Amino acid sequence: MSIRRQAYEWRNIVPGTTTTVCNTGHPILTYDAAGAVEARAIQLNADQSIDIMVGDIGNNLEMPAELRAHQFIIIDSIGCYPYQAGINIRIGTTRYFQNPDGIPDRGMPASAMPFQPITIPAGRQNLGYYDKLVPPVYVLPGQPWGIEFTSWATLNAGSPAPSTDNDIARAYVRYLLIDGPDQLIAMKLLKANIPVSADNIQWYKQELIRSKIKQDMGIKATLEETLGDSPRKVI
Amino acid sequence: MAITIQNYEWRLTGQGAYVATDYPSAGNDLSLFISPFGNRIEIPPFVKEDEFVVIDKFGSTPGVLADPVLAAGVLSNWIPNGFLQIVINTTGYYQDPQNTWEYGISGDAAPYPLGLTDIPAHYSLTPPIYVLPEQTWDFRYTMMNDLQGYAAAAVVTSIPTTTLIAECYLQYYLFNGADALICHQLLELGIPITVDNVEWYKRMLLEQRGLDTETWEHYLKVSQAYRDIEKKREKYGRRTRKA
Repeated sequence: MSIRRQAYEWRNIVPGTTTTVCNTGHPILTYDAAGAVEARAIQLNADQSIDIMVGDIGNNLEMPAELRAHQFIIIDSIGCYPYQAGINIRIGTTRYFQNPDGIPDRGMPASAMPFQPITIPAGRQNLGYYDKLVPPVYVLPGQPWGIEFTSWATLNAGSPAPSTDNDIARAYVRYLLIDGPDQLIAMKLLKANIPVSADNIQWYKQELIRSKIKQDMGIKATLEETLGDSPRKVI
Repeated sequence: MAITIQNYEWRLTGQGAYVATDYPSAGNDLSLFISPFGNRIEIPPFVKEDEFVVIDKFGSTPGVLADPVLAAGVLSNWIPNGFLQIVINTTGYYQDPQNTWEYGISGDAAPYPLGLTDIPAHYSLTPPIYVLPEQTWDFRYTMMNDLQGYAAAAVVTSIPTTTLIAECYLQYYLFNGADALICHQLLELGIPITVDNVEWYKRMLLEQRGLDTETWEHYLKVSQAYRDIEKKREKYGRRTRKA
């Protein structure tokens, strides 16, 4: 039973000279005597969507993200870098962001929701910054989901070793993981058309407690009324 | 009986003449409290019977590439590429989308310290984490840049104490004594545990001095009063129940 704030971060940096993916999460980065990283920022082709969890580039998972029967996810923030890229949310086979003609597009541009390196390129320090998706995106129990990164120019052509953090493409998703009894409450709220959020789950729990107290008080009042002053029998 | 806001800063600096075992190896997590690296405390964090802890925020050194600066064998700059995981008893708070243990939140997502030109932290710990009495808690830091490997390859002879290798910060609320008991009452009522809500509950208790607070009527009254205060907060924009 819990509501936990989770985040997943992806980078296209992988150690070595041949592999393009690290399936055990973020890789250990080694350096040569000159201080250069012994890793490559893997090339990202223009207009080719990369699943940041199982896309075979950068740090990946062993299996695609899929919610268990007792889980519920609220995705409320995403971001990516560099600025020639966008990020889309995929639930099942449906992309969340689409063009006005209904065709899925690259998604939220990095310039609108950036996940920037700490060495922010000059002129971008005061970039318009939106950090929340309103309304957030719900992923229901049993649904597979993923995040797709798409750039509209080829990035890191030839998969070079990055020399600064600015050379590394990255994507980020922040979500609320609700599981156990809290997930049941989340489903109740969904059915009642009430926005599912940590505050509303808490509010629903308060209502449940209130109802139980009222019910118990009702039973107590009825009992007292029924028994009245009648003498108690000892069996 | 007190409510205090506490913080803990962990810093790993150079130790002078380079000895590999003075520094953590890459990919292995270390406790910010009781590891042999950096500053440490004597006893691992443990919430006593009369305490209640609410972990509020944290951050660590940002950056990915190590960006080493080496001159005549002296290393004066190193970025750790670190991640922070929170552990309550034996359970890791952060798990990846395939439901397995992960390193946690990177310094880029939750940076510390924040400079004037930095963008706000992407990650915020909302809702906060409650650590209940008799539970242990820990922050585990994992550095993914291999300092030991680089030191061997580049023949680092010294890392001066002025070289800051990694830095982490965490902030939490510590409730103890009667305030910790109030935290339990709020928990039972499903009311978020914040300084405001504990103070408010105390005011409620003072108003009802002499009454039996264990009755259902009392709980119902508290519950109703909390609804009223929530409405006021919403009206004045302090918080909303919007998603």
